[in-house]
Amino acid sequence: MNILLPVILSLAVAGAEGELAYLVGSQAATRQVCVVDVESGDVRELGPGGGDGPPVWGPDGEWLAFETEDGEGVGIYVVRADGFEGVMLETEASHNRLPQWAPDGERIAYSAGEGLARQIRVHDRATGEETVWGGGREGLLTVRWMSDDELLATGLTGTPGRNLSSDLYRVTEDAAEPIPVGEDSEGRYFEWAPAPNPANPDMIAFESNDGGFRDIFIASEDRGLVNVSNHRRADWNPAWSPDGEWIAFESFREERRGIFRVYPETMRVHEVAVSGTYENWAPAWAPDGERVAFVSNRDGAPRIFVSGVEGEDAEPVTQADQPATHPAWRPEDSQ
Amino acid sequence: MSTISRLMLAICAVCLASGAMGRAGDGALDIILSPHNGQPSLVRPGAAFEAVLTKQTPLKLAGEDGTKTMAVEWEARPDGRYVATCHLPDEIAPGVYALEAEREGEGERDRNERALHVKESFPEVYLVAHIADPAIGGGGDLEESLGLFEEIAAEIDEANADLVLITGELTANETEEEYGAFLDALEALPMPTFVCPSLSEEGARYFGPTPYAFWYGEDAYLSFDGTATNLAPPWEPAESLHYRLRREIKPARWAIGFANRYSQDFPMHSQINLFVDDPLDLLISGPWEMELVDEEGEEMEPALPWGRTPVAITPPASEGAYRFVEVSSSEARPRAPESVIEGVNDDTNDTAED
Repeated sequence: MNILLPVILSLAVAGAEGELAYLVGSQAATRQVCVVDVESGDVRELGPGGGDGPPVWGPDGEWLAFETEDGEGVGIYVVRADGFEGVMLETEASHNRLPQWAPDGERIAYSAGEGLARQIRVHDRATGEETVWGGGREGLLTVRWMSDDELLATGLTGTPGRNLSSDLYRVTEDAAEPIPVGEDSEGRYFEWAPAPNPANPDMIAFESNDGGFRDIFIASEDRGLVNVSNHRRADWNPAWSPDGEWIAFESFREERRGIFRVYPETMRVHEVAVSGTYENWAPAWAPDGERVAFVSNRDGAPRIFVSGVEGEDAEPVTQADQPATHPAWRPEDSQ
Repeated sequence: MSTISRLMLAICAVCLASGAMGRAGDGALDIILSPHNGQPSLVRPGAAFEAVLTKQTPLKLAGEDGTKTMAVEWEARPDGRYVATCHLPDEIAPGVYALEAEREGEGERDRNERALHVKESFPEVYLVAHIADPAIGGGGDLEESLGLFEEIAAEIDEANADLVLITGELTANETEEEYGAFLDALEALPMPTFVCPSLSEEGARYFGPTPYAFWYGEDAYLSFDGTATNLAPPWEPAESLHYRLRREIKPARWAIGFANRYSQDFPMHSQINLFVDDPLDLLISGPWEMELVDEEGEEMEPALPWGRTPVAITPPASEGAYRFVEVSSSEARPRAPESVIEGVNDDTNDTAED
């Protein structure tokens, strides 16, 4: 899809700069990836628009990848940030989800297959080859790159319908090994949403019900396992700041889903976007670490806002009548 | 009469006969979005219930002994809807009431039948009936599928079920005629009927969105679309709603989920929340399309892949099936599926609970 790029609207945020990719649409089958220039408010449509998934920027900010409906299945679509040279990756499995760019910007890892029997596969854009990683282990559901040679995955352990749980896995091309995140933790708690610290990929933030409630934990060699959010209400979806100093996360501690940030060194939690009457979710740190984009339904339909990290100066960057979700900042180097 | 006058009269007549009448017109929800006969309010005399409307329109109840007015507090929501907190009089008689919204002289009128069930008390031991996928109009024969549903309704009524849950494909082709027939058929069930339609815009137009929760005495029920994926409407807030509703019903004696079906693509945080972190005590579901196999590759009884919520899967009503669940202080026990078709009663898709 390399023929469009109309400018849809202008909703500028004074003094802000950068670009955000996001999803527009109220129906799954018609959702489309768009990019908005935060300063000018100009929007360009990038995705095929027939059921696009959350956009992920390549490390140089020149390309995006996202899943999109492809006939009866789901494919991985890669497109230049200007909307040209869009192409669907050739994949063996009919369903491919959650693409993640390797640090080299050439390879893309994704979860391939249906149901729980999914594998991690890596597509090399230079050669067009698709490789099965993790030694072919099935039940690897989500994926993040830790380095050029290692992936971090959420993997299933146990038997479906009996004792199925999830653990964190370190995945190479040949093997998938569980990462110990506490004493006798394997298969005991349900771990999800792992995120490697960008400044220290061996330090992993994730959510777990270890301790009774769903909280944000950090696992690292030097500190072991630490619960950094520790609240009776659920805490979800950790997202590291670009400098690896802070973690933004979603929490229901004020009844509605809101966005908080925690400084893991002190475990002190600060509010970012919190309300008792509407929801705020999907925090995405700007490359400078000074601003956060997030989704809020304060006006009814979901809409993307940008604010300072303390929630100050929150301004919408998408229109109120176009449901918008899944914001992702364009990496700074490209702008 | 001039042509213009005749045209205006015709337009007014069309307005009164269709949208403005809601359930009385094309059958879809209109001014009163809830409660209705697929999601009624269950309340004691003197208690309050919430109604959601598209317009702030005066409300009253209509029962066997005439209409009742109520004290109403209004709140405007950011999405343009209005929430009316309605306070029932202490002396209101137990029974079934329609909810009416009418602004006289302005043509704004709507009426939801069997929207309110006023009960003096709720039993500790009671019987829940589950009907899955009635698919009215299926096989191209409206009368036949309707007849099957009516047979099921008659057996449920005869068994004195206290509550009926209806999930999945309500109609085969989602036509106005099929929905009209289904709404008429619901009248054969005098007890509260709660509907969880499969994900479709039409289903929501007639029965409102999922998820929602309600209380029946000490127990609580959570209705959700188990096939909604992360990218399905109503977008990601569905995960928040599942979490918040689950928290609201946490004090319940039993927290019972009912869904059209279950898919492994159901939003992961919803699965973690409802089945792992704070597991429902029972999930009542329509038929699943997925199969589970054990380590040896042998097919397993249907079960949620993770967590410890037991599942009762009811075969489709379009094949004559339905199921009862006995609820008491000691258990919420699904019985084996029943069928109005002779010789068919314990088909496939059974439950480990049986």
